[in-house]
Amino acid sequence: MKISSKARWAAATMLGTMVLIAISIAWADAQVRAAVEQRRHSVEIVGALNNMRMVTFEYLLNRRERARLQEQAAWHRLEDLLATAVPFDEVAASTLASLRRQGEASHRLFGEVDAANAGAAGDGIQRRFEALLSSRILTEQQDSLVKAEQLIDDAGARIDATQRRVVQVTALGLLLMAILTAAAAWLFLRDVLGPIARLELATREVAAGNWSFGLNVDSADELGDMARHFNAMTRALRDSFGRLVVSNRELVTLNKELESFSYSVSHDLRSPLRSMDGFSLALLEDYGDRLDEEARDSLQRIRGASQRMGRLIDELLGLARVTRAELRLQSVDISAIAREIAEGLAKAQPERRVRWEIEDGIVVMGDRELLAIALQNLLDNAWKFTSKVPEAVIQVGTRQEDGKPACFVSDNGAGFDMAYAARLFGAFQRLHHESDFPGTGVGLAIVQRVMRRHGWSLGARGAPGQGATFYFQPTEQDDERREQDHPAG
Amino acid sequence: MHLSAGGAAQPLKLRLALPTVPHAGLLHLAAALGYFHDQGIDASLMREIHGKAALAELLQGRADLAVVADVPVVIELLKGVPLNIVASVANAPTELAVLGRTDRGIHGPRDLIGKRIGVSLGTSGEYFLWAFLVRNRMAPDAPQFVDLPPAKLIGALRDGDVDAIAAWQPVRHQAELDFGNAIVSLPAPDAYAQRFVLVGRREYVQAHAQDLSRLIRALLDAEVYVRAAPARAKSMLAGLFKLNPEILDPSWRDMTLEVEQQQAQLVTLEDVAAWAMARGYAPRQPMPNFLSYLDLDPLLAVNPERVTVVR
Repeated sequence: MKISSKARWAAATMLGTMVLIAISIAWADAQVRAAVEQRRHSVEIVGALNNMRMVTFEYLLNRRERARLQEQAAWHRLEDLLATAVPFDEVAASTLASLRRQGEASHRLFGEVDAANAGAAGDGIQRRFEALLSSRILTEQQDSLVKAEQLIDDAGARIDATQRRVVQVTALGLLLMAILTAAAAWLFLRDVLGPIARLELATREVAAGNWSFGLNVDSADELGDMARHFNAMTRALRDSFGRLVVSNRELVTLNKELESFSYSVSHDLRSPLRSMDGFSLALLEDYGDRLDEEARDSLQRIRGASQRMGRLIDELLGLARVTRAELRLQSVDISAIAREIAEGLAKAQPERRVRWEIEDGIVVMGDRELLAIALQNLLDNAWKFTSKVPEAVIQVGTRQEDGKPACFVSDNGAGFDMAYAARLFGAFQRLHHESDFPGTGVGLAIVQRVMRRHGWSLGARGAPGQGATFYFQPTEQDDERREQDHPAG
Repeated sequence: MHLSAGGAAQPLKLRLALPTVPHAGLLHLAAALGYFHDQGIDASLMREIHGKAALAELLQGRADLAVVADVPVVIELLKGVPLNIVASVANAPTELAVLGRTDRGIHGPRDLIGKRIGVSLGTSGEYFLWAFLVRNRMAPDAPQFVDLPPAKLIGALRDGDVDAIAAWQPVRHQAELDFGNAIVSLPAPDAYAQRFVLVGRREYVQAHAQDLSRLIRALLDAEVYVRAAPARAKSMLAGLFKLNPEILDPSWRDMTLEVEQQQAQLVTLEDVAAWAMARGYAPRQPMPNFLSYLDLDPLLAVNPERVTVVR
């Protein structure tokens, strides 16, 4: 049975029980009202019977006309009460009928005594007759009083019995509700929480890499369906992951081959370049005086080009080094590294006036060597692109980016057009002409590669003539995200 | 002799003398249905043809308790026999009637003046006839009483030896069937409400108050049974009495089987006593205090609402 069906069934049963209790209370209320009415009416009957007995006794004792008239009035009052329809139960109705018969007998006998008294001769027969009837009247009236009082007691007993029954029904209802609640809780534990716990364990196992973990939930309800879908999903993931592992292995191999190739090419290119530069210099030094101005200029151009190509190869080797280097995590004082780089830059060009604003105590967990390379590139850029600003300001600090802490390097230099931001981190990509700001276009690619190795995000903001800001967001929790584990490097 | 509170002792042995009339039905049924046994009472029943015979068993010491109409009990009490009434077990206010032959000019109570009325002297039949005459403002000696045993009442009426008879059920019913419109039935419910009482010797009753409460409890159980299944109770009684159930119908219709001690009973006992002394069935004496002959405690202990005696 589906969990939703069980829930509907439990709710319906619970509601039914509550309705039963409500009906019971309504029934009890009606019963109590009827019993209270019976008691009230019975008390009135007892009062009328007492009155009738009093005046009957008075008449039999003194034969007063006033007492005879009062007996008539009391009887009429009693007759009305006994004829009134009240919600009596079967036993009480039978008692009431008996009271009616006895009342009529008593009143009839009273009438006979009265009639006999009117024409009484006062002899022995008359005395015996009156004594017999008087005794009968008094015993009838006494018996009637006992029965009427019994009616009052019965009404009280009815109220008590009704209250007891309501208590029993309510207790039974509550017991039923408690049993239902316990059963629902048990079913919830068995059919919902248990499977959910197994599902949670399965997700953790799968998250931990146990792709072969199977979820054993064979129920026919919603959670059973979910478990079957989950198992299907892990099977699909397992297959995909297997294919991914194979692809990655191939990729790692290709990458290593490519890196090796790049390194070899770069390294091997340096030697002919040095030869080109060296022989060009030798020509200038040994034969410069014999060469005309155009020839010397050409040799200078060959030297400039070969040196520039050497720098390009250095940058490429640097990029390759960043990629290959093993990541060694430690506490890294970004502030200290930034100051050290700033000092170096200031010494290299002491004529420049740059205001450095480096926040104290910026410490992250990362690879010191790689982060130093990244900072060097970022600060080199900031230094370079503020070279034409009279009041240059370079800042290193921390702030919130998209609700997360970030380290930033900003300057008030040439800036860049955000429309080309996507090209910033590509190798050999430049947004400014080399004649304005010399460079190879590899620096930011190296920065991005360092950040990717750490698993950190790198972003940039800027506007032409208004400076640029580069920020990265260190993360501490997920080492597995770092690129060193990424087989593609 | 009797059970302890824990019920581990020997059951109470009780000898009950009961007339085989439905008025003693509660005791017959309690024995047959095992209610006495349930209360720890080992009851042995002595079935007698009528109440006076049952009372005789009690008086002769062969029974511990007997069921009998109130008239014989009053006569014995007036003679000084120490008896106590434990409870009334049946009342039949409309059972007795005077049956008069219409061909002898009897159509109403006052037509009985100067007539011969057959009656079993010294029984509740005679007391009824006396009360009947008083109720109808006639002198007790206005008609002539002819002493007849119950079995000969109908024959005497048929033969014309008497003009009328005073009879109980089932004799009354039989006469009404036999004679049809040839007789007139003259009941007098206001004159005498006949009761059958459970009676025992005073010393026995006083010594067994707790045991008698258990007996009362068994009788109340039988009463519940009768109220719940009256037809089955009547059939069971007919079986015990070896009678056709229809024979019990008139008595069954005119009586109520209830365990009680009522104030009205004291009035009846006094009226019967006055009659008994007037008729010479007992020595003349000041009216005894019949309250002292009622043993109320057993019934009070079990169901006090059934005791309406002013106390």
